[in-house]
Amino acid sequence: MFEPPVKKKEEEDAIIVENVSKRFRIPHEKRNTVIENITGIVTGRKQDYEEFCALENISFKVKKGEKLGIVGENGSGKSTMLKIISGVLSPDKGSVKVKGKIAPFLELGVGFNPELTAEDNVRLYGAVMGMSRKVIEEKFDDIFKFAELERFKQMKLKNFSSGMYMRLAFATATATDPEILLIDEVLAVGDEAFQRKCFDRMNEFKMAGKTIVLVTHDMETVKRFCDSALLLEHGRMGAIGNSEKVIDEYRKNLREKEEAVLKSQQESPETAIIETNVPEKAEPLRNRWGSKEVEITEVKFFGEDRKEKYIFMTGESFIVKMKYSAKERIEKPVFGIAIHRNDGVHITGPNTRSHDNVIESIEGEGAVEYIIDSLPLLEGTYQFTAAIYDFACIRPFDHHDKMYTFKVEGSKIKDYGIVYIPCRWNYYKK
Amino acid sequence: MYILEYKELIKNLVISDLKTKYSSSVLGFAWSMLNPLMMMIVLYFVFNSVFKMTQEHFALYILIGLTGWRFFAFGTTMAMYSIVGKASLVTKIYIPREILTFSSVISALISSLLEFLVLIPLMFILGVSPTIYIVFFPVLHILFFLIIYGIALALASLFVFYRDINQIWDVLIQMGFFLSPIVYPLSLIPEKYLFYYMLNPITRMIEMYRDVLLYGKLPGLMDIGIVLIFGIVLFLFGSWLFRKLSPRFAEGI
Repeated sequence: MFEPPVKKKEEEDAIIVENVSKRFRIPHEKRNTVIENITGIVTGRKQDYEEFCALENISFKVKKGEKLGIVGENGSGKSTMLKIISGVLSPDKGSVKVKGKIAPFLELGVGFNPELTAEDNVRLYGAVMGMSRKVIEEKFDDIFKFAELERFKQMKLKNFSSGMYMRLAFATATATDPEILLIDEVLAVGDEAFQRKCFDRMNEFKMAGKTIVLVTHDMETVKRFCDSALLLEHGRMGAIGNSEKVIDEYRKNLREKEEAVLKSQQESPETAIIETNVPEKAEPLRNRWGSKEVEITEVKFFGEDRKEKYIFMTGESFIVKMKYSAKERIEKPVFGIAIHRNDGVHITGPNTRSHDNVIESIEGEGAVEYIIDSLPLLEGTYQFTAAIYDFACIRPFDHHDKMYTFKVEGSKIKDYGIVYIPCRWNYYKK
Repeated sequence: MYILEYKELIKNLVISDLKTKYSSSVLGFAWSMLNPLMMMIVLYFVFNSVFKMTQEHFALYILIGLTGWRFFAFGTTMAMYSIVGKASLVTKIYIPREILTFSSVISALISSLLEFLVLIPLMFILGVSPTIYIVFFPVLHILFFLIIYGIALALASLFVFYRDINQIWDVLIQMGFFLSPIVYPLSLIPEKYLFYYMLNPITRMIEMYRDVLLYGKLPGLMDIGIVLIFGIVLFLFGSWLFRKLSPRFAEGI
């Protein structure tokens, strides 16, 4: 006879999450007293509330010894998921099975009592984490040594600094010998040296083959630390699998979303005029001015492939197309642009006249392109100004001041500063 | 069973509870003794000289009633806050939540035992020597614990969602104080109300405490039986309510 293979596979799973859904009720007016409820019944007013769907139909498995990272934007349900696995929250639908002892690090120092001494608190916290008295006593010295608080054993916790508090909490929490760790962004504890110690401790857990579920915003940690990742998008399963792949996908999603936001934010000339209608007394915040014989009707950004985009990488082609519409014939107009970093630093401000591109005249509609073959800007957010002036560059026909925004992001070049200047290094030995 | 599995945590919670209770004031434990004693002196004078009570050993009579009542009043009131007051142990980690309420009632039990312990030398001073029937005291105390724990479970879980339960309970406790034979003898109750009066299990509890401590006699079997039934029903009801409400504790806090 053969053994059913299913059963064996099930044994390897440390966490099984099946079709988990969780909704939170957000009442419009919260009734949390008996009186309010009685008056509510008497007056016949039903309590209306909004339902917020934190998780919907989530299923995944974590194998024994697997390291899973849960990623997603704020409010995507990451922490809720972790709380459901730990048992703090119960799912409305679906089930969660956990095999093995869990140590949830949803927050450090749970159950600490400020009125008690550090020693008593370690005992208490140890008990909260499910350690037996014997184990706690055995690890006592280790805990204080790791936390670097040997001298403060008898001090009441209320006199501890927050750093000391966190160190003690981390040391106690990690002294447990759990099979499954649930970690919710608690790795950032204390000063740099202590952070390194914390990370080493986490790596020890990793090496020891513990099952770890990590919730964090730090993609690099997930890439480095986890085998697989789960992407949550508004409480739904986004993607699951190899952590590199999932994170690349997540980043791609983020960029697309940001691009869409930027695109929608590009002020169209029409709205810009409306926005200048600010209260009378205040100096109107004008970002567009000019005599309007020629108008800039559209400004768009493109990449090398002529696809509209607003997020560029250092070294890429950068093309800006400005459309104009001239009501009458204009002699020798000058097109100019300016790029400012979002903190106001003026980076460049060329115009067609200064580059000897004298345009004899324009009439009707047309377009001008500003092209940078290799964008030298480093990561950051930049504001773009487009303008048309007369030949003397004194009278503005149409000036769009910092009305357009683009970003430089995800570049391979990570230099410090504003611009990338190609360079070489020489190295001599004496 | 959660009690065995988490005995270490329960022990720690109880110890830290008692430590904070007794070490945060200068007189510490003395307060929990002085309070009922002074209360007893006040009540003794009021009821002895103003109402002309002729109860035998009236001082001890009041003191036993008071000490028993304190277990009930503090046990239930403290336990009501056991979930809400330890919010982080509910929202940041999973432990069976009954443990919080259980520990709270246990620490009330220990406080109460200490108070009863101080009663014994007082009995000698006031001219009553304890009899062998004092061995029934632990039985009574466990019975009382069952009643208190059952009510505590219900109060603690309701308080998470209804934050004025404490006000309501305060009033009920004050009513209960005068509806139980603490400062007056049972014989004061008119015959026609006696049946209803005896429906209060705490009346029987307090009378039984006096039986074994003051009068040196066996508690009535029927009294024990009735109180036990009350205890079991309250415990089952409290546990049921608690289990029903606890999955949403983390959201309600």
